[in-house]
Amino acid sequence: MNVKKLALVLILSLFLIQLSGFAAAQAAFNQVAVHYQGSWQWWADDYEQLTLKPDTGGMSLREEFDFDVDNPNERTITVSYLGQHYTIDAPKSQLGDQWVNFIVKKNGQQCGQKAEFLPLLSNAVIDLSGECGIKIWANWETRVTPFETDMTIEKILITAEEINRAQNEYFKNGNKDRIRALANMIKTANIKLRVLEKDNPNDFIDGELFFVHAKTEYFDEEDTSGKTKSLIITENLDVKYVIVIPEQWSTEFLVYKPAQEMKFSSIVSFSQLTEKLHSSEMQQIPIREIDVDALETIIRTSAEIAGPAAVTTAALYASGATLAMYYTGGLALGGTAAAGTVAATGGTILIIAPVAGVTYTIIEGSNTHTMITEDGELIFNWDREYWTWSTEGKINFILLKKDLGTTASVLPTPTGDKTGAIFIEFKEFPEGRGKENVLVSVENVDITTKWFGNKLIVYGLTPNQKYDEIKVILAGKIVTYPNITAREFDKGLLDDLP
Amino acid sequence: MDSRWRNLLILIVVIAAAVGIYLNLPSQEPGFEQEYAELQGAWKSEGLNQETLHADFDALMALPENKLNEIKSNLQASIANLENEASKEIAEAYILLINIAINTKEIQTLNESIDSSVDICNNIPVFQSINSKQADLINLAESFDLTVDSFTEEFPEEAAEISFNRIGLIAEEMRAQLNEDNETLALLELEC
Repeated sequence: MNVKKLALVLILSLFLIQLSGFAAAQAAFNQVAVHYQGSWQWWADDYEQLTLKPDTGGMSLREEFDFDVDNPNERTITVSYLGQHYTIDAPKSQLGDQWVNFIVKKNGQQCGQKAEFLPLLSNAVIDLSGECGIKIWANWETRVTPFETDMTIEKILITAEEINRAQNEYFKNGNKDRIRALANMIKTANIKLRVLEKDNPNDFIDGELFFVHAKTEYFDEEDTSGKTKSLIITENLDVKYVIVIPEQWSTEFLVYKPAQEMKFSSIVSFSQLTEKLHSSEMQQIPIREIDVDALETIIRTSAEIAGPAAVTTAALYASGATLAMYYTGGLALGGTAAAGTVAATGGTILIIAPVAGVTYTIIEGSNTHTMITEDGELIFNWDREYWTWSTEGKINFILLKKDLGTTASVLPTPTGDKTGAIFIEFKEFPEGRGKENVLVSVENVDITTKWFGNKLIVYGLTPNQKYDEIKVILAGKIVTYPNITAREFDKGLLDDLP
Repeated sequence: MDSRWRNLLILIVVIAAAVGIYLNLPSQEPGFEQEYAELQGAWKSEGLNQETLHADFDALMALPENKLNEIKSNLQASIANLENEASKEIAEAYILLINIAINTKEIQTLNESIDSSVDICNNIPVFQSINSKQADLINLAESFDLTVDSFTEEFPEEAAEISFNRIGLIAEEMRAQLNEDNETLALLELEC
């Protein structure tokens, strides 16, 4: 081969390398992850990657998704592009059978809504480009097919402006993540005890409802330094909770709370922390297990966030994924963060909330447990880690309650007979929250309720009995009332209520 | 033996013993604790009331950039006066830590200044500049860990005394991510 030919081959090779690299980058920026709950699905489908194609005014996903607008489990789709999540929910509108209400959320927050009247077999373009950066092409099929499909979404377009914004945000968020990761490493390298501060955005990410801590924390019962044996949660540097893995740990974590205000600075070592845990300065507080459905209800009721999406652990194993699932910078699958491996075998992983660039997950399986403290302020999901020598357990995520400012007060209860009832008047409701999603428990037992205007009537109780606690969860606000007596009330009056 | 020769021999033995004793005397280097206490002035005089500079990175990051630069200058000025090797080494590590904080602040400021609604083609140079600073940051953090390793190995007692640990940076993983971003930016630039 002469020199000229060699040079030509080299140039061609470089060109091909360049071209293949270009194609790879283009592919990454053309891909969307789709989670779809529609008709004809047993439960839900996740498409890890679908390709956007260039289109007039942006890039579009040209796939058909069948919806049953009557069924809330069969009419949602979430498209994730470079960490931005667009969720479309299409319930039947109250305007009539042939009206569909398109509700679009971006990163868990509603950005647009449009009710469309669609005659049989007609098409419509739902243009929410100004509000949400997307357009939806829908085809109305009601009463044509006897089965489930009412409507088909045929195309979703992400506008050029939105694509540009998402690309910019992708790099911006990458920079933020890297800085945060390094800062966390520096911070935790030199403290003797492990501390998470509620007001520190590096520790708790502010979700729509709760402060969300998405990082996995490992616990080691044999750690003599105590750094991985305990976890202190502070708010404004006051100790709120201490989570401890006890010696000879078998099935659970212990949770403590200070009896009185306690500054974190008063604890300088693990031995000192241990002394406090065994003194009257701190008290162990009961925690109880809740199932995934209950947690999902709490979160969905509270925040009306999108989800759930489902991914099997088998799929995770197959993809070699790690616990990056817990904090993925907004990507539904894959992502960049976090150490650890998936410990659970079998079961389902539910992606509960794509909130503002964060995805956190619940592993539901034989090894995992979701616990809530008796005051309802702290929720954590944990499982036992079998895969390393030194790590005995891990907390997958922690949720801390955030005050939404809902106010409520107990009203004087009218006298009557036949049933015990408690009346609670709500003076404010968080905007956009449905009263139908209220959950009430009396001493941890769910109880029957009825709304009368802004008054919530809790009934079915024993008349004149004093109850230790009644807990109301409405729009994420958990309100607890201690020591309330159920007054006698005429149940017939309840039956007459609208 | 002539008494003169005997006296001379005694004199030589005495001088040799004196020289030997002098050479074997322990060094009179100032203690670590004393010099570390002086070193604390570098940050305490700038309003950071921590016993060790590495105790609270959030507090360090909360200082304005000019204060960080002043702490850095104080540390640099102190090094010339330090005699204890452990003190010198930890001062070097602290300068690296200050540089990490300054670099992080610069990246944050640049990143926050980016308007996502602007055409990404116009933002690419800023992203590239940030990535370059990110690469510097990884190098600084890696140097810090190497310095801590060396300090802990040479001066284990002093390291334990001030609870001095490495960051534990996984530099290669962070560099790989950064390289991927750089490649993507370069290819996007071609499209612009």
